[in-house]
Amino acid sequence: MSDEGQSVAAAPWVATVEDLEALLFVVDRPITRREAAKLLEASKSDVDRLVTALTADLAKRGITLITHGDELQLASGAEQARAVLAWVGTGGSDLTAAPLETLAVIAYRQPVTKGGIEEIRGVDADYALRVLLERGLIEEAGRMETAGRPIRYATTLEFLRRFGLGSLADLPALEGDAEALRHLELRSEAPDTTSSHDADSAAEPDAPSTPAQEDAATD
Amino acid sequence: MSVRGIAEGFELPDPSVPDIEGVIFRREQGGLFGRTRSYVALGEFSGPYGLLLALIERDELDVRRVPLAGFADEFLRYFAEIPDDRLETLSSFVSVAAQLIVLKSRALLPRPIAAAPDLVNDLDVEDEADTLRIRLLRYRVFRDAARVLGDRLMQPLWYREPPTRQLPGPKAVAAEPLVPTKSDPKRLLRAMVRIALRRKPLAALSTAPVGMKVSISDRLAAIREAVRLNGVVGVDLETLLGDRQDRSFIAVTFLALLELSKRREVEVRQDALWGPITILQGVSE
Repeated sequence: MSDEGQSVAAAPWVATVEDLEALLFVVDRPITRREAAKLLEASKSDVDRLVTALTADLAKRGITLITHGDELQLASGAEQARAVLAWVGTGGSDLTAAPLETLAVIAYRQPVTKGGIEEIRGVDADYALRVLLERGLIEEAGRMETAGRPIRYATTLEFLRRFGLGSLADLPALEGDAEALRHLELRSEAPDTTSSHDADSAAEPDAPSTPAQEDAATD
Repeated sequence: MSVRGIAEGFELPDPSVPDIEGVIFRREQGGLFGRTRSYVALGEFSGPYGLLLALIERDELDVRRVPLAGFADEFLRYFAEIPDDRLETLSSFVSVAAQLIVLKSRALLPRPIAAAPDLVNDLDVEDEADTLRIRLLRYRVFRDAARVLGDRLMQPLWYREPPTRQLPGPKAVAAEPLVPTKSDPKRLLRAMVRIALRRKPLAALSTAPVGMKVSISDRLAAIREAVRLNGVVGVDLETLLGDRQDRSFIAVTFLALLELSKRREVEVRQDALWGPITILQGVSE
C-alpha cells in the first residue's frame, strides 16, 4: 500500500476540468490561456480542451465561462443577473440608439473600420465610437493596410460581460431579408488583403449570420 | 431607448411606441374623426437610413417593393428639422435626400422601356433605387440586431473584481487644545515681531505681457508623442511638465492627460500614494 501511495505522489500532475474551474474561481481578473497553462502545468492545447469541457459543464449552472479570444474569466450567468443584483448593487447601464447600433455593427463585422460602420449606418460614427471606447465596450484591433491605415475596431471582454454573452459565438444570429444578408460585405473594407477571411465568409450565403471568429478580436 | 433631442412640437404622450434609431415615433389618438395620427421626430444623432426606414415602416410598407421616390417630400421636411449645427449629420442626410430627389425626378419623366417596374424586385445593384434599397435593408439588419442586443443589457454577467486600493485615512489631529497654556502679552509681541521679520515685502506686480498660451491640443500632441517614444517603459508626469511651474501649463497638461486616459489612449499608473505618476501606452494600442 505504501508503495502505491508513493507512486501517486510522484506521478505527474495532470490538471482536470475541476482544477481549471477552481483556478478561475479564485483569480479575480481575466487570465489568458497561456497564464492558465503555466499555472496548471499544462500545454496550451490541454487548456483549450479543458476550456471547451468546462464551458459544456457549466451550461446548466449559474456560472458562465467568458472566453474572449485568449482571455478567460468565470462570471455569474446571464439568467442569474437578477439574483446577483442586490449584491453588486447596480443594474446594467443603458446605451442610446446610435452607440448601440454602432456596437452591433462592430460585434457582427469585427474587426471593422469607422468607414465600414458609416457605410452601414449612413451617418458619421465619431460620437458613437467615442462613447463605446470610453465605456470599454470596444477596442482598437490593429489597422487596415490601405491608404490612411484606418483603425479597426473589435469588441472587448467587457462587451461580452455587459451583454450577458459567454463568447462571440453566443451572439444571436443576424436576421433579415436574405438579399440584405447577402449584401453584408462592405465596400470600404474590401481592398484589404488581411481581411480576405471576412470577405470570403461574407460571400457565403449563410455566413453573415455567424459572428466573426473569436481570434479576430485579439489579432 | 433615448427620447432626448426630440424635435420641438413632436413630443406626444405615448411612451409605449418604441423609438427607432434616434428617430422617435409617436402615435396620437384624436384629430378629425378620432383617427390615429402618426408622427416621426428626429432624435439626437439620427441617421438618414433610420429616418427613411421609419417613414416606410410607419406606413407599414415593404422596403423591398415600395417606390422610394414617394418619400422624398417627407424626408426633406424632417431634414429641415435637423439643427444646422450638426454638420456631419446634415451631410449624410443631404446625400440620401439627393438620391430621393433624383428618384422622384426620374419618376416624373417618361420612362424608357428598359426600366420596367417588374425589375424593381430584382436587387440589381446597378439601379440607384435598388442600391438605396439594399442599403436600407442592410441597415435594418443591424438596427434590429442592436435592439436584440439592447434587451440583453439588463442581463450582464458579473465577476469578482479585485478590491480597490485602500488609501490611508487622514492623520490623527493632536488631541491637546491649541490655545496656549501660559498667556503672556510679551510672548505675543515676540511672536508678532518674528512674523513681521519673516514677511517679505509684496513683490511688485509684473507688467510684462502674458507669456505663450498653452492649448489642450498642443499638450495632447506632446503627451502622445512622449508616450509614442517611451510608451512601453512609461513617461513620468514630472518629465512631461519639465521645469515649467506656471499653473496654467500644469493644469492644461493634466486636463490633456485626463482626456487621453478617458479615451484609453494612455494608461496612468501611480503605485504608491504621492508616488511618481507614470503614463504608459493605452491597452488598446
